[in-house]
Amino acid sequence: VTLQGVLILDMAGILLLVWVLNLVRGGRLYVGYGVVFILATVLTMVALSIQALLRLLTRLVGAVYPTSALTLLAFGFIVLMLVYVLTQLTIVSNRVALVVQELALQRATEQAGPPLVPRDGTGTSDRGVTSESVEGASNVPFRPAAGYSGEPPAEGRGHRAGRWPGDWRTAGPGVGTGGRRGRPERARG
Amino acid sequence: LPSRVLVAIPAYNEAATIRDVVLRVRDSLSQCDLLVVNDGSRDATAEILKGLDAVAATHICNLGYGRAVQTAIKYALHRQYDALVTLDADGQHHPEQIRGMLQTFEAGECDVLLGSRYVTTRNYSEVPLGRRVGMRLFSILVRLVTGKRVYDTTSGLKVISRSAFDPLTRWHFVDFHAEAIVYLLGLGYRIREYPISTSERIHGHSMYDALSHLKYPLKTCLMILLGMIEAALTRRRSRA
Repeated sequence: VTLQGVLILDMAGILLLVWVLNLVRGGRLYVGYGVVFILATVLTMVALSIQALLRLLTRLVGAVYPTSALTLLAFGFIVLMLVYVLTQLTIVSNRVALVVQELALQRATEQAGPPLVPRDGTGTSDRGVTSESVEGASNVPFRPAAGYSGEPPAEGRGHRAGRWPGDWRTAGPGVGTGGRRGRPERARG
Repeated sequence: LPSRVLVAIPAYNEAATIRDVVLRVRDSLSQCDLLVVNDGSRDATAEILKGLDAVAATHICNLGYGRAVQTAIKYALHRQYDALVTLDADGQHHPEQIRGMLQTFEAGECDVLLGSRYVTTRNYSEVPLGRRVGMRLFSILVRLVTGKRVYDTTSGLKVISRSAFDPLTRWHFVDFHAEAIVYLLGLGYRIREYPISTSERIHGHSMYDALSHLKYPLKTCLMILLGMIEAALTRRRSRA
């Protein structure tokens, strides 16, 4: 690498450092990402400026020319950063999906009203369907729902339509989400 | 016996068919609770749902079929349903067949009952070539890794027991197809198939476009492998 090349690359490195520092200062780049870029830039500048270090690096990566070694290292850095950024993107995407699901579930829960569970523990749907009520049902040809028993009065919409007074208690926790295997995902920024 | 049954319909841009599907489900299973997961539809699906006797869980943006099914499972889990029935919103499934599925399911011999188009005939000849190859591939893959042959891994008509809700919300799936089957079988859940018939889609488009037909097999193969690993790790953790 010629002196001119070193100077140009060092200048580019300094510009990159200033840009990254400005982004971190302005809160547009998380400090963790900033540290990664600053370290990589400074190390590259040092390796470029000290010829012995550059030759050592070239031998270590098995390259013949320093430019090949630098290209290889840069490629490795880009691949690593790409995977890292994509993991962060996936984590953010998962979080957005969780929020969207949570919102949908909360709205659906509000629309449906509290779930109804019989006090004696026997199962009955919010709309009054029981295990016994489907026992007599045939498969093919289909018989209409007249065979169902105990259908509550249908008032309103959704699950509330089947609400029976008196013999029921509200059950079930509010809608929530758990982290994957109980561990929250970590994302920077 | 599954005494509290939730019927869930994931829907994305299904304005042409969703009303008919909901009404048919209501006619068939009038006392079951009905949830439509509107997966960020950009057509009139949301407006149509407002006039129907069904609870709507609306994703404010499109998350995909797998997430829509997962929303239904979460809803069923938190509202303590005993069983969840999922069916497609495009009208291909016949809601009239659900009652028969529930009767079979109530025998308690399985944790997941798949509505299968091919379990009786074991013949994919009516399926277009590309899909036929994929279906055979996944059926064989499932058999190779679990020892159990499942003839219709891509069916959207399923009955899922309460016991399977929790594991299905703890891991991520592409479309709750072969990868979910492998995962559940790996955890020791029992899966059976129930013969059903389906109709051709009349309105709208399949959720799989040309690119998806290329990506889907690759993604599913990867997820089958990961599903096996995840199930093994989960078993090991539970033993520990």
